[in-house]
Amino acid sequence: MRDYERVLRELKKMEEWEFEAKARPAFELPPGLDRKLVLEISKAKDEPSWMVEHRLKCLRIFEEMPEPSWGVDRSEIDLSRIVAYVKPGVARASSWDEVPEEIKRAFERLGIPEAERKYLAGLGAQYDSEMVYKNIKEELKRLGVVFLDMDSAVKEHPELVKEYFMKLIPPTDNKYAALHGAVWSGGTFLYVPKGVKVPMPLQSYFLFGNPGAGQFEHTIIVLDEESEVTYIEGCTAPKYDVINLHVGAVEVYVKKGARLKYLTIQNWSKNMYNLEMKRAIAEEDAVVTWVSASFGSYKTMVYPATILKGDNSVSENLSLSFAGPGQHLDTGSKVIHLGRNTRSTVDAKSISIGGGWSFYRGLLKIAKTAKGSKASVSCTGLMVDNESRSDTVPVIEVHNADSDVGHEARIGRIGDDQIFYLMSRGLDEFEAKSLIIKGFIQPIVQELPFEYAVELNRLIDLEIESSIG
Amino acid sequence: MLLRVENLRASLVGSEKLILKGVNLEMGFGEVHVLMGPNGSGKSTLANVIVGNPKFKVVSGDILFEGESILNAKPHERVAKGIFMTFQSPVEVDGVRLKQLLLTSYRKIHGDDSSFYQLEREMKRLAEELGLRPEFFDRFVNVGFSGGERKKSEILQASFLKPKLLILDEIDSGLDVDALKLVLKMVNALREQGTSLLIITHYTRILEHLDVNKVHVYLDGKIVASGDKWLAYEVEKSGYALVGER
Amino acid sequence: MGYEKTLKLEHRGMKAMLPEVKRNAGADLDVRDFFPSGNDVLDRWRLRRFREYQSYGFPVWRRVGLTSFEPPRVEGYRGLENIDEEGLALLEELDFEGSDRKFVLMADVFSMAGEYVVVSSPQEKVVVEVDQDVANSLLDLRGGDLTLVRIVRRERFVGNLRVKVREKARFKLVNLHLVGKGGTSIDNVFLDVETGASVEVYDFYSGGRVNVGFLAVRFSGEDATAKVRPYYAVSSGSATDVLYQMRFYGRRNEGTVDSKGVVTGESKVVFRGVLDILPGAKDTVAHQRNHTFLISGSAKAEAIPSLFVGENDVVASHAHSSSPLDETAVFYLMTRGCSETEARELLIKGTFEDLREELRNFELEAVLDHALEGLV
Repeated sequence: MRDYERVLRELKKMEEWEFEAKARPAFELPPGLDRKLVLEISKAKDEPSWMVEHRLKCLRIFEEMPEPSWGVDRSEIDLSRIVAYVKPGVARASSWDEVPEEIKRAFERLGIPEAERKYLAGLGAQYDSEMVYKNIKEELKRLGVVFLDMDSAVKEHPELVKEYFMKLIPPTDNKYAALHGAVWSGGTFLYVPKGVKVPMPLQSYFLFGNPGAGQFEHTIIVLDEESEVTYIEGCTAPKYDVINLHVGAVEVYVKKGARLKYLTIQNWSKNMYNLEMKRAIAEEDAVVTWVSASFGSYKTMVYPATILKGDNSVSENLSLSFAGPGQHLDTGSKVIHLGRNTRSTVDAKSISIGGGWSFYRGLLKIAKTAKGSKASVSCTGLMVDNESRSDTVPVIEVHNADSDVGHEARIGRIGDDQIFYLMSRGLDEFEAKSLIIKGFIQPIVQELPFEYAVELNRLIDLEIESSIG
Repeated sequence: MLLRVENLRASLVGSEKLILKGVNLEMGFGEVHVLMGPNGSGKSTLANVIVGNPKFKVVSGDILFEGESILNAKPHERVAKGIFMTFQSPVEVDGVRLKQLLLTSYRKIHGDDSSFYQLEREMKRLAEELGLRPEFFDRFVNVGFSGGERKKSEILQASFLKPKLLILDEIDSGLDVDALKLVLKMVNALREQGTSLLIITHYTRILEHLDVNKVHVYLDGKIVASGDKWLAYEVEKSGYALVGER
Repeated sequence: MGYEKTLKLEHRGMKAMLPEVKRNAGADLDVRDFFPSGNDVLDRWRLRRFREYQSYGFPVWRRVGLTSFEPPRVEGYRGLENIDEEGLALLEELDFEGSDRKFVLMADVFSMAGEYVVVSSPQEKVVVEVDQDVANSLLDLRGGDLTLVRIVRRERFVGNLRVKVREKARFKLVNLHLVGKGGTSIDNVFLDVETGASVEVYDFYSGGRVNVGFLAVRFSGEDATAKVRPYYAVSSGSATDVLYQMRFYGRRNEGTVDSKGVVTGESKVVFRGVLDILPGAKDTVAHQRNHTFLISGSAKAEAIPSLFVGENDVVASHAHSSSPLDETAVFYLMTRGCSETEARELLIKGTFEDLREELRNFELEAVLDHALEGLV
């Protein structure tokens, strides 16, 4: 659909906050990251020629674009290591021994059995879920839902995929989008036909594509008119991988009257650079809900974005980011109101503990055409101790007098009187803090399916314990 | 006839659902009428439509004031004709001082018949009667006013501007016994000066302080019964629905 | 010694990347515009500044559409001629980045008006109207109570004002920026507040095609308070960009920024807030609020209210909102007899009522009324 190109072009024109980097020396591709590699990847997947062309185009753009001039410090990213990773046929972390201690311990405490651990560590197929998936598969088939791993979708539904692939997040969007476009692998393709309301939440780990191909996965979700689905990305167990860069992309197209809820729980290991691009476009009367919880990674940059293109469309964004020792989480949200009577809410909560740095970055834009729109953003930062840092930098642009916009942020700490009160009811300090923190994140937790909520609470306990000690 | 409401049907702008479903009401000069009805039935809507709140649209019917239809008159034009309403929860108007508003409004309605000095004196007198301090007039309209202060401010405005028809939307709710006494005293004073009153309320206690010409029972978008004050006591005893059925 | 940067983004060895400002090389002031002041020590200092000045081009500010800057005509030096060693040390201490280092330096080197004043224990109010296009002043308030009304009513302006508010001193600043239509004004104000001191600021912006303001409060001591009240009336195609910074070094300081204004016509306001609480600034209370009334269809409001917190024993918040005039309030005023236009006028003027109160003390309400004319 040419439509998306036009919308993105309009947005670029309005984008006054684009910062231009100083002229830098010509970017040199690291050894091995070249046409040859890209062709090898494509050949190993047996891709149709349009995809091959697309990858090569992305590589060219990657070479030409300058590094984005803002965000976390990315000077430590070593792009040459990607080569070894994405090259087909190279053996990956092949044994449980290679998985770091902290990850292994975490699995144990979360009570995840050996077979599952292997899968989750990117080592093999998941046995238990195979059964579950079989049943779901039949139901989905009956409803006409297309739910495949991305590699298969490219081959089996080329017209459908081609219509949407990297249209909402084009390679020219930023340097990392271009890199992603050149070496992407794995991910999910989900298409829900008109009027179909998928009865159970769909989870990405039902699909066993390339194990460990989660580094550069590309996910496309298309909801046709009046359809509904809840999609869950990932799971709570920590993901360990050989190279330390994750550049995933998620494109979501929500047509008239459709509703999508997209849940992510990110828990990459603490040596990872997590750069994700997530964007949704909502047509008339559509509703997009993003629920994200970020725990892991060394540095993260993720800003789920919704473009409210159609009149009366609605965006809700609930997020939680938990920055522990050594972590720098730069997360936030982007909402762009184009249609009339559109509504958006953002509720971002962040916790910084043990020296972590939590940085909320938001963009809220009400275009001239978005008459009668209402937007409200609320950010709350909880600094558990004195070692950490919590920042918020929202950018709010209102180009329409017939709109109501409100933004507020509060940063503070757990009150001594609250702790004292709980302790006077018999809890020790750790239990008191843990309870207060859990209460703080309650609005997020209640959006998650039960098993996730339970695991999330356990994760919090782990994190608090290791940070408070 | 001071006020005649003929088969008035009205809804919220942008909605098909009728709130007023054919209201009929007649008020003569110098009369006091009471309108009673359950919560959320739309009594306030009737008041708001009479003063011209743009949130509502008249679907059919008419409102005649002193024989003329006022449907096309804007809110401030209706005030100039002599219709005034005290709101149940008046909105805060930051940056506009009460004194400033009163003087501006008075001049618009009554012209230059009184001097600035006379008007100030009148304001002070009214404030005293309500137990309010003179500094009250320097405050921004309704900003930070307690519930009681808001009601007093509304009745003070009414007394100052001397309308022909005063609509009181639940003037008695949220007031303690003492405050209510003061407010009702002022309401009575207005009546003695010839102002007609349309009192919207839940409670019968107002009847102890005022002589009332007619009581109307409002139910489900219409006035379903009219009578004298004994009707009010019956409503209190039997409830709105039962009375409405008769 | 370094100068006070506007944004500092780092934490325990981690850095965040900051976007670089694009700069223009173009016609600029040069050595021929450097006039000696007659004060050698001052001139040596100015020369150092001049060298730094030359290393920057003029910034390109996209949000307000400032793509090129025409340097002012400099005809001589006036400003800090009477400054001594002590004053110079103070200047270094109060050095800052402002909205852009280039303009702070321009005013330091090329000012044609200004003063260096040391006041010990005043109990007075002073009204000053800046009468040149480039001005630079340094005020050392050592105690007592001083109110300064500073009026900038020029076609174009670049200026600095640095104030050291010493222990227990009380300073009130009423800063009126009334720029001529089509003009460009860039004002940088830096206040250093010591222990127990208190500061109150009314900062008003109106007019101009590009009207840029910067006001920083540095809490270098403890137990001080600063209340900053920005007001803006933006119309006739103007782009007004204001930045309010508060940086908390010491403990138990309280800083609030409470801003409101009105935008109409094809105009725009950009409101930037930087509340920066450094580790160790325990018991800080920091609040920032802004509300913009957008009066006409093509009015625009942009805001970047940021909050940087490195100390958890604090209370910090910011809030930004924008809306058209409250329709319920318009209706209410109409039920009191005002026509729609009158009601809107009352509400617009009412936005600036607190400022008018303050100006009444100096019989300067007319200045405000004039600026608000034709806003409805």
